Amino acid sequence: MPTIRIPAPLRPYAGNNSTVRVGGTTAGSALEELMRAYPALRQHLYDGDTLRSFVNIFLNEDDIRYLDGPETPVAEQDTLMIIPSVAGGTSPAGQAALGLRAGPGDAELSHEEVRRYSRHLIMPEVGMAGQKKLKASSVLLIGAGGLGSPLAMYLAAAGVGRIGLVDYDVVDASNLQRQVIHGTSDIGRPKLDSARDRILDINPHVRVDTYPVPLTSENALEILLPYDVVIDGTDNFPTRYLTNDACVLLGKPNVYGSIFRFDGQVSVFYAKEGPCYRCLFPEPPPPGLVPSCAEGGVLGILPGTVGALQATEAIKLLLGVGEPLIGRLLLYDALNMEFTEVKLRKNPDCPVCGENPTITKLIDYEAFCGMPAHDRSLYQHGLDTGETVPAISPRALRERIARGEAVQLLDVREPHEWAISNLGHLGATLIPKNRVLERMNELDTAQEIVVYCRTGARSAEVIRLLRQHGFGKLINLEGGINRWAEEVEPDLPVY
Amino acid sequence: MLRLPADLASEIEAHGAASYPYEGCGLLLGVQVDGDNVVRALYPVENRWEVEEEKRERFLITPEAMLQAELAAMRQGLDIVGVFHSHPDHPPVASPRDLAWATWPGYSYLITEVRAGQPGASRSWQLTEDRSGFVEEPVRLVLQEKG
Repeated sequence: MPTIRIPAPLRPYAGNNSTVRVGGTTAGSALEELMRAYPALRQHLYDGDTLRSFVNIFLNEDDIRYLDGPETPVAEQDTLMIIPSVAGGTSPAGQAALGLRAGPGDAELSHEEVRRYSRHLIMPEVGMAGQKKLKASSVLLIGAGGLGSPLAMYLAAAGVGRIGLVDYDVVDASNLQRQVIHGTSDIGRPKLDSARDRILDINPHVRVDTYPVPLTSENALEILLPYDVVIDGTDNFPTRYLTNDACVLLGKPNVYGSIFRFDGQVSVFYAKEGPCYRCLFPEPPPPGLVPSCAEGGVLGILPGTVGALQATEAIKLLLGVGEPLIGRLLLYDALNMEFTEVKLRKNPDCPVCGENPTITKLIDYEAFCGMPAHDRSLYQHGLDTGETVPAISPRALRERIARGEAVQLLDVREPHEWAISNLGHLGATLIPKNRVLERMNELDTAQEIVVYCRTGARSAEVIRLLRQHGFGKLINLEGGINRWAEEVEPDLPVY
Repeated sequence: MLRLPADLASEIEAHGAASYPYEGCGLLLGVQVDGDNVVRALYPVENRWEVEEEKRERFLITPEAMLQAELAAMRQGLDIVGVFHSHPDHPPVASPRDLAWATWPGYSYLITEVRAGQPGASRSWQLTEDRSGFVEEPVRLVLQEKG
């Protein structure tokens, strides 16, 4: 019968014996005998079925890992020693205890999960305790689009236990260039259905909560409340300010990301520890100044990069490791392939997170930003300033052209959009929106002009602008060239 | 409670200062009396964390060193009752890293702060039974308890 020497702190679990003689002919079977005799030892030596990572078994003076492992034969006179490896260190700089409620004891991992997360479990920064923390934690994604796609997929794969998704849209063909969580066969399906299927295929252990509604001041606090971390993957300013303010009011970290063409931004807004989005941008930009991705375009890969950075920050916050992007704004320029970082300061006069906040509950964010938050919004002010623009439907325009009426067409899109589709065959002229004022002498104030863009928004703005300069006979093409293509000229691509 | 002879406390501080700017580490050898860890001897070991630069904020005691310490303790009729290590330019508080690598409840984790090479406060911690965190334990300096 070999002897096992029990380390001092474990003796209370082994009848206060310093050595125990057990049966068994191999190291593994001898340990099993020990566990049978003293079951309370198991939790300190084993994690599930495997020895804890820091536990080493020595046969006389040799580590059994370098012999035959648990199969190493043991004889009557042999001594097995249970030897821990000991390590530790200081907290990495800036590691703030976020007070997240998840504790390592809150979740257990099945054998299948242990296999699935093994590459995490062998990292000291994650390990069993960290992986359990992830499983016990929850993240809310505002938006299941470009940023939401990589976020949801990576966070699910990493083992975040609960993922909430807010999005009311359906999958459109124009989403697929960047929203990789959705596939071609999903076109027309609600994004949340498609995203949920993909998440559960990646990791069936994830709980997916779906909120197929626009995020509003009425529902935001209720939706955000159960989650540890909120991730802003929105594409508009009203929702971004709403998300920020709700996070400040609820005391939650907000992992922010934004994308435009080749440029991305990432930060972590966490008012308890640093600045919030309003400290950086107290006021939204004037309506119409900053184009959305739908208007300006975005490199399809860009949300992958930015979303992956946001997912990394979220995981760090949940684990409490590393240095979060709190108080720092990371700028990513894909065209020059440059990352730069600017320091952000908390604004003591910030209306929501400052010393004397004036915003203590959620407000009307569409009015604050002067623009609608989503296309189901009833908000009518701001962009069109209440001033309606005469409009014509594509079919009605075709009728007029067919009757031989002289209709001047003005395209206010960018030249690269003209290259995708245009009405040059009907005599259209291209003057990009931001050059209209300097080139308005090319237009005849007396002539009736139908103005169009991609979907009708930019052209309406141009009409309002030109009206102030004496152009009275301007008509907006409803739905832009895309609707024209759908209803009149199916040969033209919709983009 | 950790009962620590005053001369060994000074040795631990000197070891931490000598290891600066890296973390220094070693083992507390002694006996357990009525639930207290009573230190009788020190077994300093080399910080074997593999990346030189990271030794400023990391330490590692290899299983081989632990084995030798255990054997040395046995020869003196003692046991390993705890671990000591220094926190260069950080407070002597058990960190998330210490927790991530923690071994068993029952060991005393004595941490000594070393600021700019000068030893500061030492505090001792024990892992909770459910492994979820460290709780502080009192340290009582005693004259060397013989026998």
